[in-house]
Amino acid sequence: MDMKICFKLNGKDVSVTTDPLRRLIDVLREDFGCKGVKEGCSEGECGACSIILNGKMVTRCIIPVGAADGQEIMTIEGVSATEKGQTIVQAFADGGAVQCGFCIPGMVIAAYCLLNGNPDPTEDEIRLGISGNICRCTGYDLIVESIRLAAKRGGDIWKK
Amino acid sequence: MADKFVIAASAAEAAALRDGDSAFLAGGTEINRLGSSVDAGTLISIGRIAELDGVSIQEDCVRIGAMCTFQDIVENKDVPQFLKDACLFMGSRTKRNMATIGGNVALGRTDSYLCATLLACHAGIILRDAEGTSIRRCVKGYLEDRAQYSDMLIEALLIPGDAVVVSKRYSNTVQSHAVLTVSAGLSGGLLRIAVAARDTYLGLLPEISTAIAGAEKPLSDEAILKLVNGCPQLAFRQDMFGSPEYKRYLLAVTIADLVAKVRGGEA
Repeated sequence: MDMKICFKLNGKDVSVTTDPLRRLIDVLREDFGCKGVKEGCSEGECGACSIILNGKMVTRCIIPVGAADGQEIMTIEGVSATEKGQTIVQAFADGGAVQCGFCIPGMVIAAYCLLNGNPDPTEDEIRLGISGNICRCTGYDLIVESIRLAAKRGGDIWKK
Repeated sequence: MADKFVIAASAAEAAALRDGDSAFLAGGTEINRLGSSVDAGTLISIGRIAELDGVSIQEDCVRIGAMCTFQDIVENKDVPQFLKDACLFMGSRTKRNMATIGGNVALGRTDSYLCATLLACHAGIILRDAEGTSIRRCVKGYLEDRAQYSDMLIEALLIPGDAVVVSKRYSNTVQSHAVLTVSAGLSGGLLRIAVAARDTYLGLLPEISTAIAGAEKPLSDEAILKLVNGCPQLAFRQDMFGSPEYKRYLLAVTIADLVAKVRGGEA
């Protein structure tokens, strides 16, 4: 039976009347056009479907959408529209962090969450920050370097 | 595959809703994932129940709400380090932001991240039944008779204040499921050794604990291997993780190592 589910998506109040058992990733992609939320492993392990839920990064896209009722969700579309998000995206482009690109939305979200809490991370802290995101192309080094570049370029914006 | 979804507003409501064809949806790392071990007709979402959250210090223990995530536990100053270490066995911070202590215990998987540690420290568990009555059990009793408690809601875990535990987990990568997680703990003056052995056994090893505790001097690896070989619960199988002989050897030398550490104050 359909249910009206209300939540905040990228800063806007939204609602959808649908089967509450549909996966959140399907609702975000199909009903709200958030195609940056990728389906990789379907197990919550690879990080491609990462979103920010109530301020914390999760791979919660595999959960039923009913569990998102009343929550605050930010996807890569929301993150990349911010000054902080743009700083990371540009650093990834300039730093050569992207190969096939499938993992990159999740990586950008991981970098955003990391730098918001830690504006000047060490290499170990960056690697820990992206520990929930798997990339099969790059070997991670250029992603780590690009996050460091974003930290440097962003300067004080990470302290806001 | 579930065909019904309900959101519980309180622990009492959640416990009352539970029946044989339903499951509680806690952090959401297991239900709905590809290859999930949970099969239920109705999902009862318990994510909004405030009384299942939070960490508090009680007279003789630390009370951890069932919906506390692994990352909540890692970041909490009142939680003993040995439990934080067990939470960090889950290598992905993203998953630690979702996975809950109550969910991990309720699943009772033989490759559980936390159960060996909770068994070794003699943790308690608070359950709520359909009539709204809260009962206290030990995690050992809960895991040994999960069928009896499966309709009950886990409210909280209780970590004894005097407990010290050391644990070790073996897996291919931090993202992989473990083949073995072994813990040795001291609480109330008793040595407890627990193991989560994938597809084999989850529980305490009382025969080995008693033999080690009763020995006049530390047992050798070979002596512990003999004890492991004599444990009927440890019927390891040949699989992609290795041979039975390899797993028994790994378990024996790990027990020797962990017992030395917990007794030597390295916990």
